Amino acid sequence: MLRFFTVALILTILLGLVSIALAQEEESVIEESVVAESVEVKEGSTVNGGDVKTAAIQYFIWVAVICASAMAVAAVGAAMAQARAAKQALESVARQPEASGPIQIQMVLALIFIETLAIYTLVVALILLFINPFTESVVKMTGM
Amino acid sequence: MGGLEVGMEFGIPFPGLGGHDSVIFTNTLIVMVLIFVLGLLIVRRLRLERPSKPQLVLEMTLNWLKGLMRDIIGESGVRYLPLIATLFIFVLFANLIGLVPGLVSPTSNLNTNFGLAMIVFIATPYVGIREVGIKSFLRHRMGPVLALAPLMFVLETIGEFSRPISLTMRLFGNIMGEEILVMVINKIATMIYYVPITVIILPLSLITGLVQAFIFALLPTIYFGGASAWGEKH
Repeated sequence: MLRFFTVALILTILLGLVSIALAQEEESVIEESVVAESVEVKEGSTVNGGDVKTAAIQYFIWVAVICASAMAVAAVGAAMAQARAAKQALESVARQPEASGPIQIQMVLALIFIETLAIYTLVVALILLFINPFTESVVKMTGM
Repeated sequence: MGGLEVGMEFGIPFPGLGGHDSVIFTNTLIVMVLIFVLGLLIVRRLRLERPSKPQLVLEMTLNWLKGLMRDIIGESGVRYLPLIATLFIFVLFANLIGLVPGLVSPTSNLNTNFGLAMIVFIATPYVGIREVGIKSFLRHRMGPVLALAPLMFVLETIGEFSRPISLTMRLFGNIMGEEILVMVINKIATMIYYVPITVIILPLSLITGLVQAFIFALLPTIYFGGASAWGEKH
């Protein structure tokens, strides 16, 4: 039994190492392709009648503003929906205290599914803020 | 997908390797070793009379999970307690280890969560077929009316495939959001004379980790219950 566990542990570690090595190779390939496709922009070119750098800064400002407002809207919606669900569940428990066990599980389930929608918004906001796929090309366009 | 790399500069990379994934790998190993050693320590001195406190805590947790599975799946559902309890304990430890300074939650990476969710995704039809047989399992997927069977089958299949994505995203968003919150609060704390206001946010993180681990155990249980229900029962 102990030998089985040891072999399993070693296999898991090896698999993890292989996956990390593969992931790193993939990343380097992606970077090369991005570099090859980078856009060359001449000095002093304009976007919508303004400077390229101003446009890039405006892009990042708008990303931050939109992430914050999206999170606010999602939080308001999720809070109202969760309040309704919790209110209804509490009323049911007050009317029928012996059924509190199943009601509790159902309420937690409903709350989970409501909260998931807000979490999706959070994930989208995090992706836009931290691993935005357009950041690199926008920075390259400014020539900085 | 590489994943977010916020606040990862403090993590321990795996020796000889670099990057975000190796930090997660090291922390997963730490969680594994921690659970293994704790389990060995508790199991070594099991007693029927005057049980020790860790044994009581473990027994209470397992009995609670067992009661939950008996309520949702039925009497035969207790058979799948090892899988659900393993998911619960691993996710719990992985969530809470992020609160230790210098360590990073393995569940704040999409890859870890997707791996866990894939286990549930593969186990769900297995449980259904084992409990009610492949014929009843497929008939349940086709809905009550035969005329609607093509539509219902497609809908059920789409629902089945959306489950791992929602499981992954839920855990990832919660734990990542919590870690970013702790990081931002830490930065604010360094601005105002190093007052340790992180203490305010730590109990919240504790509750988040516990609740998310419970959800990650509850949802597979409900999936198993849905897969093994058939006929008049559902």
